[in-house]
Amino acid sequence: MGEDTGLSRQSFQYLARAAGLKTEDPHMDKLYAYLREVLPKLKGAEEPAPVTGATGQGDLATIIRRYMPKLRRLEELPLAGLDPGIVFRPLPGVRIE
Amino acid sequence: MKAYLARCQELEPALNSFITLLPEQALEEARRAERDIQAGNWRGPLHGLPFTVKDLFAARGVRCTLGSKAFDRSISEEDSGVVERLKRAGAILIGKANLNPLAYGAIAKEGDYDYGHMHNPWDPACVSGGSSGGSGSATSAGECAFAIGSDTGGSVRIPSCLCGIVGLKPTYGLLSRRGLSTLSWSLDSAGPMTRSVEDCALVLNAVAGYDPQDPSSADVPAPDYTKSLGAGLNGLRIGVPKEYFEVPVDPQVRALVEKALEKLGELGASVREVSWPLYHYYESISTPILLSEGAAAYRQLVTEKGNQLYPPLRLRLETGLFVSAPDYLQAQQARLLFNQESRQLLEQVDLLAGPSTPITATKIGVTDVDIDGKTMGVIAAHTQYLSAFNLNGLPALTLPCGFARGLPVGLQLAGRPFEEGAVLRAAQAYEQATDWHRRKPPL
Repeated sequence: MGEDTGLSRQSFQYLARAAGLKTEDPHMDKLYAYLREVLPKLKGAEEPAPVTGATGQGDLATIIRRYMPKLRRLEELPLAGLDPGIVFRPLPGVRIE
Repeated sequence: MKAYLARCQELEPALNSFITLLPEQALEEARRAERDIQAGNWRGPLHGLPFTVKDLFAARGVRCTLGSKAFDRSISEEDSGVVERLKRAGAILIGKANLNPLAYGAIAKEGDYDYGHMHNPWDPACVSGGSSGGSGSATSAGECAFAIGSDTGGSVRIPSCLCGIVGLKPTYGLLSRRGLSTLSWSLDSAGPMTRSVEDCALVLNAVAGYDPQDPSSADVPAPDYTKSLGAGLNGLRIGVPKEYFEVPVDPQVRALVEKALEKLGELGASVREVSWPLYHYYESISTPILLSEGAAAYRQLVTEKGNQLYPPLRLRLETGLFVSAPDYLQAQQARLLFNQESRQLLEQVDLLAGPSTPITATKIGVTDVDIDGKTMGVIAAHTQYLSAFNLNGLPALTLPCGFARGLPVGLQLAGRPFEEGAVLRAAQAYEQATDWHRRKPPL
């Protein structure tokens, strides 16, 4: 079975509402199409999900499909046990002589 | 000051570098500076010089739009940390510079930015680069003496490179972010944009250093950066990651950068190839971080006033609301590995060098570009060599190293944490051995 890289409309509505977005806004169609392109790319998916709601050449979702590079999968890296919290500590300084 | 203001008046119709110009205020400050200097109260090399800041930095009594009409009438009550320090050094704010809306480099084929596109002084049909585009074009064209921009994924260095000037993203935490509207808390840095490396050192002297009112400010001593200049390159070890040339780069840009690297070797540096395997993960790591932090920073804005935002910006901010917390944290875990590898690399060499951007400035409205037979998005191209240094927080500077098809090409030098001195030293040695910095746009 292939990887499910799609975001169902129902899930999108739920998440959008939880995030505070106005789901009745006609703009949501454009956002849904855009997310269906971008989110799989973030996971390094080989093929983007089929676009619904894309409106043509200048449409951002189309641009994303064509020109956003395939990202490397972070799961490939040895991340087990790494504490992300220490990223936020200031860099240790080098005392200038 | 009158000459600078006349220059602004002459060039603004072509460049659109500024959102707000402050001619009366600037002239009054100039008269005051003149009186002070004549009375013997000279504050230093920046005294009386006009500067601009990206309209993301607060300046008391001046509107701060963040490049978006949603903030068109927002007036700052206090100076930001860098503006405060520059005023203390006697520099004079001449205006607030134009930028990509909210400093988020989203572009589209159709539509215009809220305050219009910024134009490159070397070819006004081309972009000045973002997101500190107005700061770049104003400095390059001589509408101000220097500028301060902000850099999340290259936004100081991209316009500096494309407009043919010097731009520094300092070590994370070196410059105060107090009063800077943050896009990404863990990636953002303020940085100077100047016409020479020496100017960069002088501006850095004025603005660098601990700010107890900024929680991200690093409590480390800020030295006199001009003392690093003129030391030459003997003994300096410069590494060129081979991975830089495993990604698309314009052949003319590559040729000029390779020539610049040869020049660094002729000047006494030891230049060699190094390997940076995790470099290829920079985009996978930075994208979830930037999306999430940007969405969190502007969550109220996008959920309540989304329809007032530049449409591509709105989509990008909303997308961040859908990145899961585990995905964000996974990216930060990967960032740890990335940063460890970066630091290990800088134990083998003193500086990393390579192209600043793989392309020169594109025409306004272009969203994709062909680089040596491969098509990629313009934003992805612009950030290709730059956002890695927002991830690892290391200081990185761009300076001109030639022209391709009449447009500037930049060389990027990056160093160890808080070793801006070494970066400036190498940059100046190269600058003084060439004449790229003396060339002026044909305006």
